[in-house]
Amino acid sequence: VTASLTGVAALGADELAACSGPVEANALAVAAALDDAGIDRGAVDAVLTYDSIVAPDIMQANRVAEYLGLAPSYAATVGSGGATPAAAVALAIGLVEAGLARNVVFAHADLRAAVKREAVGRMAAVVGNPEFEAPFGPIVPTLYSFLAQWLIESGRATREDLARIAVQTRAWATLNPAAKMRAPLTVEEVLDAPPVAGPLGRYDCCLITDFAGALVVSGEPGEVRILAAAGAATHEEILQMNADDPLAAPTALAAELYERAGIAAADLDLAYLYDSFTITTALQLLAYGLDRGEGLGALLADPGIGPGARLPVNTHGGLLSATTSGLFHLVEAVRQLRGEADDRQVDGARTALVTNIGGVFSNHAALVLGVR
Amino acid sequence: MSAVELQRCRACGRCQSYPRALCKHCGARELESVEGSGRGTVFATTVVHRSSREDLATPYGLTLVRMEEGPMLMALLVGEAADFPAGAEVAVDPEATRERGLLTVSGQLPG
Repeated sequence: VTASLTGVAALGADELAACSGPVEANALAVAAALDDAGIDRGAVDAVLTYDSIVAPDIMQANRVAEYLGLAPSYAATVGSGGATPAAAVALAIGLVEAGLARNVVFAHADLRAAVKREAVGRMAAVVGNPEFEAPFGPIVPTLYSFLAQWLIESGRATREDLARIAVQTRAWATLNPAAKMRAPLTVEEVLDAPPVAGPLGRYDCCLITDFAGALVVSGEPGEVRILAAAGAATHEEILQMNADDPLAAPTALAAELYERAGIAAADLDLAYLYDSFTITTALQLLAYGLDRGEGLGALLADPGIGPGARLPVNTHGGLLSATTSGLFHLVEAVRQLRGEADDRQVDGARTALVTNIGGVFSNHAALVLGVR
Repeated sequence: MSAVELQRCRACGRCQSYPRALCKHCGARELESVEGSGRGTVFATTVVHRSSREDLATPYGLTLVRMEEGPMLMALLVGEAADFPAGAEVAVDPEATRERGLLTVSGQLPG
């Protein structure tokens, strides 16, 4: 890959609160990312966005470009659920390597907190087949809880392992002033929280927050290079998954990704795993070989994947404790690799894995980023 | 009557659900509607504490069943979730299913 991530930005709570809607929030995030990249507005050749759930717009990327007064060659709103930010980076790499664009911006913003119930309802409706799933009343956590129960019954995870993921992710969030939830959490608190579905309780589920962020993918040489990208889009609805082995697709993707990047799992200094639920993290720790074959129990023993870990995971606090979109996995990875992560900086980090997932463990998009 | 409707491909013989205009396995267009046996094995069972359906009293059990013809289906559980572990062999209840308008499973098949 000959592209770099040259700019990232995340709007703060005060800026978000002043936004009129997702288009403005996206636009301000793009402006901040261009500042971060140190490039002129006129240098933007493509604007990609991921549509708002709260205020859908069939030409959102065009509206964002228009708001900013940009006239790029391409503006496209892309959508593959939670996988979108990392998948959009892969598309951006394609535009750059094909010579169709030099600088591509991607932005994702939504103002979901105020309309939480409605937004959750719509998201649940999107992931469930209207005839064969929705009539049974599942919400997204219900669908992921099948995978949690499957992994636990297969002997590869315990309920406590999932709780440790919530606790260790929160431990990172306590170091991030921008994280939504910053109070330390204990395993007991996770286990005693109100149940949501099967083994999953309140703290096993991601937050629904307002957010806006953006990044710049550039053909110009940058400090943070994209070493490799890979994707796997095997299905959408849970009933269509590979029930013989739900881990098969991401495991194959991981092998392909590492080969393209010329690294092994053990070479990673940081991992940013899409954590819609604690089980989502658990499944990926196994699929990406981050447990080094020793199992989740050994990997998650203190400090596990939290501060002080051999392999720090989701150092910003992830979707579980910081912010809803997987875009911020990318933003944080870039900041860590540049040495700009303040109290949570992992010294000497040079290589990072970033994953985003859409659907019910359905659409996987992954990247390896690196600095020299 | 098993109450489980599947779609079978006349070209490759494999089944699918939900119904499509072509076979997801081989792409052929010759498909027929068939009645499944209603028998299958549990992929995993969960307990729903928060539901998007207000008329279903929580908590209730839901299970994913891999039908013996191949496709997977969701079914409402009648009984304790703990009695339906992964791999348990079950059959859909035709009567209860018709009454409720949803597939239901109420017990493991006698081993």
